[in-house]
Order: sequence, then C-alpha cells, then structure tokens
Amino acid sequence: MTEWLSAPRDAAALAVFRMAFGGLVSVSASRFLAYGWVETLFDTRVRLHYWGFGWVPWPGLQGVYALFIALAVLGALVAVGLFYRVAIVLLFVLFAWLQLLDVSTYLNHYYLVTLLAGLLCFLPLHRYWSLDVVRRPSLRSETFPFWYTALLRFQVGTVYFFAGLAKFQSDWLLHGSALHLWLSARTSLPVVGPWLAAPETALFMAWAGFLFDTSVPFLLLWRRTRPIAYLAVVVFHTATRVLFPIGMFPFIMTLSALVFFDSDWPRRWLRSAAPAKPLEVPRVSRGVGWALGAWCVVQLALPLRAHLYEGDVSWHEQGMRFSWRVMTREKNGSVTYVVRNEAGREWHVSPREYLTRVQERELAVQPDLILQLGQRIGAEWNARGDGPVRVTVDTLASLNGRRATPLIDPAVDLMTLTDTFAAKSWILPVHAGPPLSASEKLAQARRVQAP
Amino acid sequence: MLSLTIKRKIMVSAWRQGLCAASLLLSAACPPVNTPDAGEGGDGDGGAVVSRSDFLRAAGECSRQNVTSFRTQAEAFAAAPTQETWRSAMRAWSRLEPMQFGPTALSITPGGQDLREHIYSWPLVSRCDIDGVLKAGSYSGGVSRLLINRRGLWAAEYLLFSNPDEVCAPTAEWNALSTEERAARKQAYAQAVADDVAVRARTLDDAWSGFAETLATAGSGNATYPTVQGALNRVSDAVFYVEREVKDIKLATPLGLRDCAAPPCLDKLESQFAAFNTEHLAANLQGARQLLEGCDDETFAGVGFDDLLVAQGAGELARSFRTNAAAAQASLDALNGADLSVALVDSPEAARAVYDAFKGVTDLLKSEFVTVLDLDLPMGLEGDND
Repeated sequence: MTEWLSAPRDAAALAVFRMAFGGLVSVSASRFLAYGWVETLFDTRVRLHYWGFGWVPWPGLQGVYALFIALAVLGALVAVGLFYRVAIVLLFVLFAWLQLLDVSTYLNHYYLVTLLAGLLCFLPLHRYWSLDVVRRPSLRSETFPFWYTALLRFQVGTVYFFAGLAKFQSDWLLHGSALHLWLSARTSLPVVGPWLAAPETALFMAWAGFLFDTSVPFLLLWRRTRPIAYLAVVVFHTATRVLFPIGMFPFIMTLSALVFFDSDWPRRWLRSAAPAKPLEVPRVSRGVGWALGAWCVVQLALPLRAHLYEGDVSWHEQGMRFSWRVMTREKNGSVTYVVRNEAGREWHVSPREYLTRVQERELAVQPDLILQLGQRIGAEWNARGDGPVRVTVDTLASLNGRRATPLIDPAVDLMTLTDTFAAKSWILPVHAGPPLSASEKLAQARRVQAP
Repeated sequence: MLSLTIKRKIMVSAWRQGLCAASLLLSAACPPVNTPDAGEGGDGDGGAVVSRSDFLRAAGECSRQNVTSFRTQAEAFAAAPTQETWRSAMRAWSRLEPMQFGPTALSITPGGQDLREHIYSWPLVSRCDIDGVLKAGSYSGGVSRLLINRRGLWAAEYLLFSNPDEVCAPTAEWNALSTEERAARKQAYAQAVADDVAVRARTLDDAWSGFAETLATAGSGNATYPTVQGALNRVSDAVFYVEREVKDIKLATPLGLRDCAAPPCLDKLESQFAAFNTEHLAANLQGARQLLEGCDDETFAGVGFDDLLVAQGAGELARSFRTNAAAAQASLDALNGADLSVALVDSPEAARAVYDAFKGVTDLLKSEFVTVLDLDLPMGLEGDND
C-alpha cells in the first residue's frame, strides 16, 4: 500500500491542476468584486454563524473587499506558482475566513474550494512548471508521489458520489419534483425551452443526474471508460451551467475531474519529453499515512452523518451542510417570530427586520438558523427591558412543492433551547403528502390521452 | 433485524415504483406532452392549460385596465377635487398598489418609470412639509416640482379632509387668515395636486399603452424582459406588496405587533384624515386577487397565478389561495364598514383577525407559491447557487 502511494508519477498533471485551481479562485474572487456581490452578501446587520464559529472576527465591509482582492491576487500567484507555499496557505485561511463569516453564503462548491485549498497547503505542487522553480531551480521535481493524486481524486470523487447518493430518494427519482419545478420555469430558453416543461424531461434528467453522479468517479478511474466519462462530465456541467445559476461550480468540477487522467496527460498534449528518470521518492511516512486515513474517514463520515437523524434531511436539514447535497431540493418558507412578555404584550418580528433577502431565504428553511436568530431577538428584547420574553416561531415551509406545513413546533420557547448535534425534537415532520410530481403529471396526461 | 426487513421492503417498494416511473418514461413519446388542466375539481378557470406567457399577457392587460380606470378617476378628481372624487381616485389607485410592475414600478426594475411615487408617496409622507407649502403658497405655480411628499394623493387627503384651521407651526400670516381663507388655500392647493395627479395618471396610462404586449412577449429578443421567468418574477414581486406594506406596515404596526410603543398606534395608520384605511386594505386585496385569481372586479374570473399553479399540478394550492384571499376579504367585511382606526379601538379582536387573515395569504406566497413556480422572493440576488 505504502509503495503504491509512494510511487513516483509525472508532475505535469498536478502542475496543471494547480494552475487551474489558482486561476478559478482568482476569477471567482474577481466576479464577486465585479458583480457587487460583496456588498449584497456581506453588508448585513446580523451575521448568521456556523455552530461553534461565533468567534470568527468580522473584518468590516472594507476588510471583506480587501479579502476578495487578496484572494484574486493569491489565486493568480498559486496559478503561476510564485511564492506558492505562502500563497496557498494564505489563500486557504482567507477563503475559509470568508466562508465562516455567514452561514447564508454556504455553497457546496465554496466548501470544495476550501477543502482543496487546505489539501494543497500540504502538497508542494509548485515544484514543476512554476515561477518558483525558475527562481529556485533546486525546487524542481518532475515527479510527485502518487498519494498526491490519489488524495485529490478521492476528494473530487466524494463530491460526485455523495451528490449522487443524495439523489437516491423518491422525490428525486420517482417524482422528479425539484427538477420539474426548475425546468418548468426555464421554458423560454432557446431551442430546448419547449421541452423543459415536459414531465418526461424532468424524470429523464433526474435519473441521468443520479446515474451520472454515482458512477462517474468510478468510470473516470478506469482508463478504458475515462474518455467517455470525461465527455459526460463536460456535457453534464455544460448543461447545468446553461440551465441553472450555479456560477463557478461547473468550471470547478470540470477542471477538477482532470485529476483522474494519467499524470502525464499534459505532456502528451504538448508532445513534451517524458520526465527524466525520477529521483527516489521517499516512502509515505506512518504519520502521513495516518493523516491521509483520518482525512478520508472524516470526508466519508461528514456526508453520512445525515443518516443518523430520523426523517428527511432535506426537511430537517440536520447533516445537510458539508454533505454534497448539490441542488437536490426546492424549498421555501415563511417565518414570523412571536415574542411575548409576562405582561401579555405580543410582538411579531419578521426576519426581514434583521436580515438581508439572501439571509432570510436561507434562514426560512434551516431550523438551526431560525433558532439562532430567535435567541438573538429574545436577548435583544430582554436587554431593552421588555423581558423576560418567550420567543416562539410561526413557520411554514414547502419542500419540493408539497403543501406547506409548520417546520418548527410553534409551542416551543426558543429561549429554552440549546443548539447541539443531538436530534432536534422541536422540528416537526414534513408534510405526509407527495411532492409535486412529474411522474404523476405524466401519468395524468396518459390517462387523458387514453381513449 | 425487524427494522432491516422493513427497510428492505421499503427499498423494494421504492425500486418497484422507480421501475414503473422508468417504464412510464420510456413509453413516453418524444414530443412534450401538452398536459391538461389538473383542475377537474374546478381548480382553474376552465379551458386550455395556461402557460406563463398567457399569464403575463393577462397580468399586463389587467394592470393596463386598472391604470386606465385610475386615469378616469384621476381626471374626474382634477375636474372637481372633492372628498368624494378623492375617494374614487384613491380606491382606483389602491387597487394598483399590488400591481407595481412595468411602468408603474421603480426605474430600477425592467420598464419601470418611477411614476408611483409621484402619484402616491405613502409611506413617505409629512403633514408638516405640506403645511410648509400651504403657508408659503408655493403651490400656486403648480406642484410638479415639489418634493413627492408634498403632492400626490396623500397630500390631497390631508388638504381635503383635515381641519382647515390646523397647521404645523402656524405663522403670524397664517393666523391672520380667516377660516374661509384657510379653507380656500387648502382647496387651491388640492386643485394643484389633483391636476398634477391627473397629468401623472395620463403619463402612466400612455406608458402602459403597448406595454402589456411587451410583458406578454417576454423571452428571447425582448429587451425589457429577456426571459419569461424574469417577467413572471417581476409580477410576483408586485404581489408581495400584501406582505410588506399591507400585512406588516398597514396592519401589524398599528396593531402594536411591531414598531409601536403602546398599542394601538393610530398614528401609524395609512389614512390619517379620511378614515379610509379599511377601503385601502380592501382595494389592495382586490388588486392582489386580480393577479392571483383573475382580473374580473367582482368574481375574479380570468387568468391569474392560480391557473399557473393548476398547470403546474398544484391545484390544491390554487384553491387554498382563493380560500385564504376570500377569508381576508371576509375579515374586512366583518368590520361592518368601520374604518380600521375605529376597529383598532372598539374591536381590536376583529382588527387582529384581519391581520391573521392577510397572513394566511402571505404565508402561502412566501412558501408554496414561490416553490411551485420557482420564483425568487423580491430583491432576490442574482448569484451563484448549488
């Protein structure tokens, strides 16, 4: 095993991966600045923090701008391999800092970028095709041990596989509900538009997406199926890019999937000479081995933790984040906090009074965030002398077009709760009825057409 | 062990259903199925399946129809600015409040021309600023250049319905005027305001001329609405007026549920002089129902959002909307003609019931409605997603 992981491989592929990764981070940060998203996402009155990360310092809005500018520069430095060791560590720290500022900005692909940046801190990918090598030729290494590639393949593979597993549910496969809702709203697209409202399209794409996600990491691993699998990657991500506003995700995945190719693929493309006989690559140390193992276990356990909770994770959201549940549900909700004091005075507080539109939309369907803001409101009321208050919440949420039902028990005083990893008994079950169903619509159409 | 068996059975059952769905899928012919109206139980307004473009055409026509009606009332108001003509004009405008899309909307939205604030600036209002103009007589050359909170229908309400002797910080010159002279000044100012409102109404009506077609042809090649969904979102944003302005500002605030030190907060009511609050609410609801259900003034027949919901397979939600909207109307009827300002004092439970009934509509808007039609909530961010 250690021999296999230590085996030297051509450094070219990972050098290209480094360039692509740095370039994407740079473009991504520049997009934020160019589109004015910094202000829209971060100029907030209240920040919704991740569990245990309330301490993350707020750099101020100008500071956030500075962070994005720094990321654009650091991404470029990583891409060209200049001051790489410092640049990648700073990139990881700054990117993670931005992600931890507010839960409402969580996206799976930002999480993936954070993880990849974290891994690259330990992989000296600047030793080939980089300006650092031009500066210090002694750094140059034409080969890297195979575990570099294996680790990145594992990381990218888990995204696909768990994204596929997340689709193994009746709402997705049997009803095609979320896709039907999304596609029906995109019928004005040229050429394909008229087909998108058809329930057959939603069901076809639901199954295609499930089969693609669950199988593609394995098909990419096998040399014989790799070209066709990568073609599928390109087609799949191009289609999602055209149909949905998912930003950089298709680019990140399409370029990341290149790690599955043989390590000399860029050299073959460039018709460059094969590397000189590799230097002796040291065997993977026991420490590195354990660290790799632990990393893999954590990466497998995190997405699987959702199964420790009863019920539909898309509804209760326990174990939803960091689980690669990429675009698997359409969910919206309404939240009104009801604050009552002992004198019988009642206030109705809309999250809108505290949050931006983006934050409110995220909060309305995520119980832990509803609790977080509720407790803040209660503390505010108490501090201003209107307390002690009870804070309950009137919620209504709809998952995949199901009839809306309360998400949180309206009798529970949020001020008495503590957010832990234990199952949240104050989350009510999802509506027992079916979601809006493409297959039902199709069956209905057939019934009408039947003589 | 038992749970494993159950799980296995569920899995087998799920896979059977999956195979059924897959076979159904394979048996489907290539062309998209023109799905029927799911409303066997009277979900829709009958007839063919309503597309998003059909709805946009209907919404545009409905808005145009209401704008023209408002223009008629505004011109009648300008011809004779009385309390009665103000009521008619105001009623017509309040119906348009939840229809703020296209030329009626702010210029930051597609096709918007910022005309609304010139006609009715509420909640940006100031009685004392109006008095400043009144005392200075600076309305005599026309009011079109005055700030928006010194003209429009809210200013007209103040000028026509307030006690002519009462003004903010009266000057010596004002004090020297007789009651008749003061009333005459207010009337002259009201005339200038009414003339300005009529001009704006004509501008708005002209702007809507042909705009319904712009809305109906949203999609590729349309410079104002390049996508159908974008246009649909703008109309849906407008309906959210009943959530922000109606439920929260017009109802929750005076009820003391928000931003009110000691309920009821009558000073937070929309209509401060004409006791027109219940009428405002009824007209706002009517406008919203015309978009949600259909444009007919009385029966709400016609193409509305509910038909889109039915076409999407959410007939039950469409019925809930109609039921909840009718309940909101019933809660207003239960005030027995009393203005909300009176009900807040005399029968606060009835006033609270109005709030609860409107919440029944807005809760559906924020949850199922936007889910089923894949709409963004107002001010949604165009950004990344996954």
